[in-house]
Amino acid sequence: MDYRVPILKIRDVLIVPIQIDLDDNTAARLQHDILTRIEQTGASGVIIDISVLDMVDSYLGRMLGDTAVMATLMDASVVLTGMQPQVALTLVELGLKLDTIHTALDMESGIELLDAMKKA
Amino acid sequence: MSVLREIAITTEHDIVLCRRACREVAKEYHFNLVDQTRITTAASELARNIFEYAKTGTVTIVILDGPNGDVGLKAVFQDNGPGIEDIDSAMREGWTSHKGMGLGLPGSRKLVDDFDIQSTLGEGTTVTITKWRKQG
Amino acid sequence: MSETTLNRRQLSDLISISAGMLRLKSIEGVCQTTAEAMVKHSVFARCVVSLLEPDDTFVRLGFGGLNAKEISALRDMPKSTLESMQDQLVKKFLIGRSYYMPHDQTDMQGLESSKKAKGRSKTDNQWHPDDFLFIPLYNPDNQIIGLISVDDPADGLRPTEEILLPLELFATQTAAVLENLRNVERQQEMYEQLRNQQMVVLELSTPVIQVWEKVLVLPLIGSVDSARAQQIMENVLVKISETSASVIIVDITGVPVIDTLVASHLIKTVSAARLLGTKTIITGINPEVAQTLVHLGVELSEIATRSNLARGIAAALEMTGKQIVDVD
Ligand SMILES: Nc1ncnc2c1ncn2[C@@H]1O[C@H](COP(=O)(O)OP(=O)(O)OP(=O)(O)O)[C@@H](O)[C@H]1O
Ligand SMILES: [Mg+2]
Repeated sequence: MDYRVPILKIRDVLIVPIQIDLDDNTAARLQHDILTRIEQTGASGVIIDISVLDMVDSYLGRMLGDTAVMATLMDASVVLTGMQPQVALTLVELGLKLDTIHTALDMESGIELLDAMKKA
Repeated sequence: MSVLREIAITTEHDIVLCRRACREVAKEYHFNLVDQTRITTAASELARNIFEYAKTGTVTIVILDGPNGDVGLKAVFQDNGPGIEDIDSAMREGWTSHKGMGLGLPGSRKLVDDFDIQSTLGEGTTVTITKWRKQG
Repeated sequence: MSETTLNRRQLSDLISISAGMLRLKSIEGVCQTTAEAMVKHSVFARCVVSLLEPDDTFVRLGFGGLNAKEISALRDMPKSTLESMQDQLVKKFLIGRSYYMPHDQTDMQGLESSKKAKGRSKTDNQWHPDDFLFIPLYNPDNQIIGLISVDDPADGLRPTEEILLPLELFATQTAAVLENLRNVERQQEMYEQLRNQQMVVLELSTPVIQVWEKVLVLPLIGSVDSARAQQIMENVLVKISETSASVIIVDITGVPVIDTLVASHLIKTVSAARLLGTKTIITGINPEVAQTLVHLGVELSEIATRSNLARGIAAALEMTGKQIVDVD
């Protein structure tokens, strides 16, 4: 499977819509792609939208949390948007808090949050 | 009781196939959305443990007919890998022999109703999980 | 992988439309909104949205840029099936996640052959009136659940990956909304089924009240046992995502004691709500409950608290950029 998640750039924000259930390799490559893209473009924010995902397990959860920390080290903020309620509940029950990553209900509020963080 | 699916775990992508199969069966038997997600997530963790620690193994998904019309989804994760030396430690949150987070086993136990783990050093590991369908 | 500096306006318009679609209750409404949005916010002047039925035929449900006559003509045309599309939805036509079929490479008489050829002379990057362009709608398992067919680009050019990306992104959102609606339908069917079998359906007496646009209040009353706490937690999270609430206030003034199990459900709800992007405020914590929470080792920094519901609401409004002022 050589699917790659598309990364779009709008002004200085990268938008990463995860559109299908990712296997571990694809998830790992996505982390690499996001960080590389931050470096290339100097983006100050990243929105990772997972509204389509019906499951996040510890591997993907950890990848997302780590990516947020790594991006912060590179001076970019990551907002995770669109998590479905049952996915959130299951993640918490599994024991994963993902407290390193910002969250928003949808892409629109994600962009607002990034704007607000930039002003602050 | 009937065996519905059998998935061989040999490549990393089989983890995806395994959790999808669990989702499909849970959906087909009308588990609610939260429980479908719990089953799928637990399956993903346990299938990944097989791939990570034993390299290969099999996952079997079975539907159980319990008393008073109860329906249960049971999944068995079986491998002939190295086995686990100290099961009590392995079940503790945060305990990992490699560089994991030590969430897979204790986390998936919390997501299901019944959880059983058998392991013999040098012979292999079998983890069995069951989720009962809620009524109403 | 692709990177483009896109028209921010277009994308943010499309995003806010897809956010609005979450509130639509009918599948047809979502298709229609999608078709209209496509026409309004892309270069394409005409759009038809079709969904795949269980019998593998496509039903046209949304129309953009077409007049009533054209729509009824399209409705009368024979339905395409997934099978009849097999030759079209192939790799050689793929651009990004969409399929583009130049007229001279397919003999298709498909979804939209009611249009008239304008006889434009053909050059390589020119769109021809008999070309077809489909943006598929995929479910999470990557199966096609429908097609967005667009036509008549204003620039008269063949599509490029850059043009298609924002549209594909929008299509993803549409597909997600449709999947959600279908899930709701399925659950409703199940619920009916249970009713018919005269099974006792556990009604839950946990109202979630929307006090302001983006503010919910969950008043907990009486003793909460673990089973009920679990149910409440699930309801609250679903309600949050239904209403796009940015703050939820859990008022526990009416709860005399909380055992550790229930308290841990409460904490879980706060954590899960945060993952959705929603803040929680707990109000009305009495001394016993405070003791339980501390004994549980709860990280209080994670939870906003206020002494009573009124203060909770004031705080919530402030968080959403509103303020309560005295009028005098
Ligand atoms: N099938 C197995 N065969 C052999 N050892 C196993 C198996 N499953 C788990 N273990 C052992 O149990 C430990 C704990 O497993 P667990 O899944 O809880 O955490 P992890 O895999 O280390 O990390 P995480 O799952 O959070 O990424 C593992 O580190 C490993 O040593
Ligand atoms: Mg593991």
